[in-house]
Amino acid sequence: MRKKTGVKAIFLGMLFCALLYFSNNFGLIDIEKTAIITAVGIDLSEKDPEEYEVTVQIAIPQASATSQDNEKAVLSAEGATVSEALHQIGDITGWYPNLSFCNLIVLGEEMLAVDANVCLDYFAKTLKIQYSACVAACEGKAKELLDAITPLDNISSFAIQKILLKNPGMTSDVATVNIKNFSVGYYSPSSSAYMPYIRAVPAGRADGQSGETGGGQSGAQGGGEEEKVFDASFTALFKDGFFVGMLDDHETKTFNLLKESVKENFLIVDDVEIDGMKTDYLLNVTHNRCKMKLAVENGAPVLRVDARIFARVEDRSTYEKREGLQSNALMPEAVARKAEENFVKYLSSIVKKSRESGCDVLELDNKLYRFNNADYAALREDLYERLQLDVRVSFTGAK
Amino acid sequence: MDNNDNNHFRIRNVCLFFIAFLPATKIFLLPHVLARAAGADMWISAAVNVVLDAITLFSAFVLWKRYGGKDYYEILTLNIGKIGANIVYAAYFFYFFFKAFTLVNEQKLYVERTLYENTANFFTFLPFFVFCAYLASKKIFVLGRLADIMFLCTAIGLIILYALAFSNTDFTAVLPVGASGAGRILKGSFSALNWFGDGVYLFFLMGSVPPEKRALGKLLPSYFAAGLFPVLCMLMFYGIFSSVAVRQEFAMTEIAKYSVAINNIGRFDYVAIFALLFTGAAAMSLPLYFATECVLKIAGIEKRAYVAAAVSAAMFALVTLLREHYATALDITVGATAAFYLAMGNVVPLLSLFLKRGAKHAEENGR
Repeated sequence: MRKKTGVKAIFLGMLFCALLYFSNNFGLIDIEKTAIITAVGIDLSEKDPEEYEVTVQIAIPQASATSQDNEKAVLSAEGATVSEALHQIGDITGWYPNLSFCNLIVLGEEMLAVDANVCLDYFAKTLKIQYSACVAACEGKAKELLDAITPLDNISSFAIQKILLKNPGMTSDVATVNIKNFSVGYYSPSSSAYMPYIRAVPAGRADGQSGETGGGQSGAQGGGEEEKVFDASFTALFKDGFFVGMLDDHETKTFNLLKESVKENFLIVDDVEIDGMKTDYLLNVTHNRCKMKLAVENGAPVLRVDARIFARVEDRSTYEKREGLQSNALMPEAVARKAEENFVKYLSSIVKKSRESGCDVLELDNKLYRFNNADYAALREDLYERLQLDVRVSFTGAK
Repeated sequence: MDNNDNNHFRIRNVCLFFIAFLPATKIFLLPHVLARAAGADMWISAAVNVVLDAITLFSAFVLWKRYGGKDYYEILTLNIGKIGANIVYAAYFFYFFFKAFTLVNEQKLYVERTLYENTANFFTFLPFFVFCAYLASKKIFVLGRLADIMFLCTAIGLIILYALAFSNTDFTAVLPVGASGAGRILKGSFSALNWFGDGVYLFFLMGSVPPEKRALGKLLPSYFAAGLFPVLCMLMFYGIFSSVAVRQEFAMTEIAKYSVAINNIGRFDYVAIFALLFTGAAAMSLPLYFATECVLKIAGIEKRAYVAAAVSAAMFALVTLLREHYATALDITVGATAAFYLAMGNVVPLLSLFLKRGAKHAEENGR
């Protein structure tokens, strides 16, 4: 009997230790002394351009009885490395910088003039942050972006994340990347990567958006600072860690249509001439099937793109009574042709920018290595110069 | 031999033992080690090791059939005498002990670095050694009972992780197959020997497994099912990380978290990770269990608990002593000492096929 009790005691003791062990209670840090960092902004220091100014946005949890809103604190520190600056923040505040909940890293505009990977590599190597955290560049200073007041959320980084991480598959207007994607691109043989470029837009002036977005208040709040919303439809291109070019919003959409499966995505087709009248159409892409294949024919690389895009008419700018009776599911032939022309135009533009900038945004180098390995050594140096495009694109409505 | 005796394994237990424990130790540090050695062809290196272990397993099976479920120590004694058997068992003691060192160390590092926000002290991992000593003090049928429960944890944990990681895996990243060259693939296999060599366990279980019909038909498929998980893990690991695979030290936490579901719901993949850590704790205790077994046979000690405690304490001391030198220890493990693992994990089992003395007598007794 005594033996059985002893075994039970040992068993319970082991269970208790396992509970503490797996739940990290052996290493618990007081929540009052922990800074829950939700976003990190990186700029070049104004005092010493060889140093970084790191800005962190810290979420301050609120008791639900007193406030329903998220509260934030934005703090900055400087250091020769990102890590040093982060620890400076810990030193001056007494908070332990907890990066586990950080889902956004923003590079200020000045960072585009230097090798961005030098600072991003810290996040790629440390186990303190999730590699799935989004990476983006921004117009102006990252510090100002994180400090911006937005009607979307009390914490601007949460609002930006809503822009970057829209419902999966529902939109394709942002070329979202995370730390891992950027690193994989940077360390690939072509050393090419990209990230969304965020612009803070006055809330009342955002294209196609009202200033009352999300039920927030437009205009001045508190200290009279202007409220901002965010546009991330442009894509910054990087080669060897340096910014080398930019895809505009149309190119970014085309790029995303090629890369991923989307639905409920909207495309604007301007100036479609039907019966002598110019009409602007908004198409709703219901789904897409796009394939890119790199072939080598007679010693020349050929990029075959087979894009099938299924869409329906969502809206149009002019309206004729007779056409009002037609189904939106049927896409006029002229609209489909114009959409196809646009697609080829934007794809050619992406290839041109890749050639000029050296950023292999379509990952053709990888395709050449993996599927045409015998030709890799001969073609890799001037792949984009010799590249021929063979595009088959079809925009189809209901038939 | 009484098959209903709780002190014995059944073939079913051995099959579940493979599925429960074999994959659990190969998904922490091994992908990093293999990526470093074999690059995109790391999955081929892992597959080579699985095949090598299948040969070891087959050798154990032949011996088990030949001697009708006799203990490996007894078989050695019959063939090469007691001193010879003691020498082989002493070699296996070192094999299991050093094999355990890497497994324990990698899980310790994994827990400390990924689950702990701050630097853990040496005391943090102590409960594992208590568990390990407790397990090693028990009779062998406990491993069978553990496998009965834990195979579900392993299977569910791996299936959840792989299902989450699947959509983000670019399987074309491993193309062209064999581009690293045979040299790097074999180097990868050689480096990974510490994590494989699982077929050897059957040599130490054979004395507790009564003869059964159609045993090979059950053993080999379950072994290959257990071997498939690590090979798939290597494929997915490289498919997700490709150019930066070489610097991802702890694959298990990493492969699933790029899933859309994780982004939207949160890190529920930790449920799978904890399930695998749970089985991992038992899996890395196995070499220490069999190291204890070796000491018991060599020294003829009756008090199992004392030996189990001493072996676990020695491992704790070694891990604590080398806690700041883990990188050097890892380099030694994947370097020169891998030849020792090859000898004990694959060559000695193969040579065991030459052990025949006393087999006829055992067969007659079996009838």
